[in-house]
Amino acid sequence: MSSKQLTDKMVILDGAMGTMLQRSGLQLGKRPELLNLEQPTHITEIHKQYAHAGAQIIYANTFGANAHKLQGLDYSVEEVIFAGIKAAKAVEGVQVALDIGPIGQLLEPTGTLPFEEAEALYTQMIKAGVLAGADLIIFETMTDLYEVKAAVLAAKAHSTLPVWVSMTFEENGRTFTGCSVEAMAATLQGLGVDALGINCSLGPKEIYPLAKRLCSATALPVFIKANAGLPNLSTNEYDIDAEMFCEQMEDFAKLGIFAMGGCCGTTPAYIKKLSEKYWGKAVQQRVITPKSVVCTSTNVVEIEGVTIIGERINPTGKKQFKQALLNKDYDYIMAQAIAQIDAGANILDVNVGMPEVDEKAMMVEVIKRLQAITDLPLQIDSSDADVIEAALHIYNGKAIVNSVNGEQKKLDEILPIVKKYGAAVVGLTLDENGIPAKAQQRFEIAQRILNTALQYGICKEDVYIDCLTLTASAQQEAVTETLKAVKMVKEQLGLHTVLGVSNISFGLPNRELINSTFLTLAMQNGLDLPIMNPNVKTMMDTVFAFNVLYNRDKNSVNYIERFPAAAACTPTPQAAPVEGDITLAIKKGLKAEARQLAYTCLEQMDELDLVNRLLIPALDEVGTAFEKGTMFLPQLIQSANAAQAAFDVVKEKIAKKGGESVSKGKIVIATVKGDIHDIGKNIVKVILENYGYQMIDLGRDVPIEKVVETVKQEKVKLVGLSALMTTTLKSMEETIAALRAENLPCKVFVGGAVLTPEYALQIGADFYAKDAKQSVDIAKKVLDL
Amino acid sequence: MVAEKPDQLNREDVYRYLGCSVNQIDDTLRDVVSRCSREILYIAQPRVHWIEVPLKRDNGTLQIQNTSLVLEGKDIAAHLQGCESCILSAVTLGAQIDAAIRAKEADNMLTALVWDSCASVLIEQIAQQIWEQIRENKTVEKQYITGRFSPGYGDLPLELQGKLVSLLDTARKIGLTATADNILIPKKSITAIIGVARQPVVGKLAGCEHCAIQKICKYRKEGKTCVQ
Repeated sequence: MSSKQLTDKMVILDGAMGTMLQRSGLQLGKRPELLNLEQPTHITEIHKQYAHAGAQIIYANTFGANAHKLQGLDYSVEEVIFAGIKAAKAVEGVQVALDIGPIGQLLEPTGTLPFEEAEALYTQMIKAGVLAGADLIIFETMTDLYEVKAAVLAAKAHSTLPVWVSMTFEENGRTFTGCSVEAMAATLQGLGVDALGINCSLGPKEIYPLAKRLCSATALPVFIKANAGLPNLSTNEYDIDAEMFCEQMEDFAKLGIFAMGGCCGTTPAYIKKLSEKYWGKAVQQRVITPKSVVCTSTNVVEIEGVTIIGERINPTGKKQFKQALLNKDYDYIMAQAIAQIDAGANILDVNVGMPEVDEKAMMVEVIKRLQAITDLPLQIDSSDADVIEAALHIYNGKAIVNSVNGEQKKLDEILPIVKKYGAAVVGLTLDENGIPAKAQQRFEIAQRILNTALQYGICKEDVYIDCLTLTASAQQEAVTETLKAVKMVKEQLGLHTVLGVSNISFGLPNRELINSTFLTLAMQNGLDLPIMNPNVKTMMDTVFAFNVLYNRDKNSVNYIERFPAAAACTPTPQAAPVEGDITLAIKKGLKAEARQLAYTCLEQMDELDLVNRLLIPALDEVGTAFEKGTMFLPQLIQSANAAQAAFDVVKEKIAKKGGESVSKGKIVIATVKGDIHDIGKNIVKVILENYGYQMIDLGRDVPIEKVVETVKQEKVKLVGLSALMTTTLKSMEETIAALRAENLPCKVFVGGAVLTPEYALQIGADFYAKDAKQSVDIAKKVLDL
Repeated sequence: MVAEKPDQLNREDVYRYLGCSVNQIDDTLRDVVSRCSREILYIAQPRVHWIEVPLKRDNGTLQIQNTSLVLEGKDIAAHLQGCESCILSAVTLGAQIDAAIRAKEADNMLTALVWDSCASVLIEQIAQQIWEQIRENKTVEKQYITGRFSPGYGDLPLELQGKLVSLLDTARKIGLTATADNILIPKKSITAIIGVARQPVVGKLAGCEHCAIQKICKYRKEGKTCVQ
């Protein structure tokens, strides 16, 4: 079925299967898909009624036929899907869709289902559906964009059938997991889906504004399956009849949707009405303005005006970052992300390449972790095609790839990956001959990159060009060439432009001045996407000022918000030197003071002295007060935060000297398999970290093997396990048993709401930790000499 | 269905969840709690779904009629004594709250902890609000209801969680799922069983004797219970 065929004339889809089954007495809680095997003629009969009513495409009764939902039942996924497709194919003259809904478990990071497992579950369904002879694949009622991505990748990898996707939105235009209509469009269009739609949850009237948004966000054909209005809470019946349903769909036809049917509450009577009125009608042409957007599932960033890409997740020239990569200190990397988010970055560049690090594994891990804590779109910064592909595969949304260049080999290697995953791409204006000196030559490379991208099917809006910043101190004459090239690319090719800004000032004093001046010039010449350090205030100020002067920040709203009038007339006070006692600052939980005082202290003592003589005793005091009940958990954490700030100063100083980081020993910490409650574990981690222990946090729902493997590899002497539920104590016990079975010379401490000291001993733990403070006592006992 | 949010969070409960005694709260913590309460009330999108189903008693097993769902254990049987039917309910604060707490954890553990506590208090308040609403409606119909009883109370197995989620189709109705290990996701969610009868019933909430944390329970040590 070509998409052309589909988009010329209105196609009629079927109505609800569940509603029909419930009316004929389906038991509550019973999986409707089992009827494919138990009562196939009944299923065929319902399909027939829809076909007779005029439906041209029938959704087979396979919605929940996945291995998770069928677990513990008597039939396999393949059996159910085969029978489902067969029951639908018994109807003549229709196309049969393999209908697939959500797995029923939420994916990581919200839930516990790994992306890769979701992909495997969908692959199984798709293979079965293809074998059974489905004509197309429809994923419907989806609410998690990440899950849809897993589904679509599985479909693309294992079939050549058309793939349609419809998601379910609430009236606020977002799904239960927060995915917006525009994020759905940007991501799925890129993944090569054939048609996009909205179904379920709402009636036509409520879906209409969302459909309108979808129709302007995508050039793909759009289809709609609304519910029969909203459910009446006392009767549980839907509130609009076939007549009204059909009438309300009129506006959708005008929007230019190409297919319509019904979801919950609709019956063959509804489809008959639709078919009588709309079948075969010419589909309205839609006019779409193409836009450059990147997104995560909950945040769409349109590249319009200056869009800031934060550059700090990158080991180049940063000793502390390198150390963090080597130690797998993800918290440090996440802190870099958070600082940039707070400073106003719109997109984060992610570069984790360095010689001793497995770049691919690290990239995947860092992206997964970033996705768990931020909704900013990411720019995947690597030159290795494998790394880029692995990153794009698990990225939730539409990313940017940084970068390709004018080398044909690079283009042919990376652009197909960019196309496959629907990303945007940065093209550097250099090639096998290096960086051309003149703007014209760089422009020519940009042109070549654009043409090749177009040949690979990547649209113009997704190609961004980096005309390359050269260092002013070394190649002063090149600066204006870069600026000229930016202008040419912007004006003559109509492409968005990228520049790494900070490079310009390398080797010069007062780098901030050079940087912000260059940034101003570049923006004036058409720079859209500066890659820069958003934590440097003057750089961000420059962007805000630019937006006022270029009439982009209307009425200077954002500028004024950044510089409130009161602040404008008061000169910024010089930071007063902080006096006092770092111990006191920590006890009182004063972060900024503790940080300042750490600098002061380090003028008189070395790092280890500061940690051992001041930081730890201060924390001990707080811990004792906590134990006595004169201080509470929030205060303990506040003190830990303050100590952390002082500790960061210590780490910074040590990294600068190139010394070994302070570590009193490694501790592995994990919330056991099956449990996802990890706030307690995270509190323990923070506290222990501030005592100078190197924490290896394996996260939550951690497989037993992973704990064992890490303890072995990292030669860890102390392991902390946490569980909150009575049901997961068993997996705590099994984890301990596995550690013992390997004869690993490590001690284990356990904690969690349902544990008791007796039970801890019974399951083979060495220690029971009632709270974070006791964890510290245990760590001291085991690790401190 | 969207559930109504309360105007205010019960601060005392928040402090209790934080392990603090109210008269020893300092200003910093008070500020953090008020800020977090406001934020969480703003971003939470609580949703609720419930159905009323007839009960069937057969040879000592308690079952939901016309389904294969059995309510196991003595405690739920005692709780539903005298009830002809029960309400199966599920309420969730939504995935955004989990995401927000995750982001806070990476940023500042104190804010994360306070958010977590506020969210626990909020979901409890909403579940209670819904229960009160149901009671009002039932009073009009001259019916009576018991208190809420959730999987994991007393000897009602936690495994029921997954079955309730599937029976109520909460993934589709309110975005609530259960993991393979029967943990609800989004995390700040509550499922509950409420008995319905034509004569006054009070139910019998599970006592401490079956509770998993009875040995280390803070309230028990103070001679109190967690039930208000």
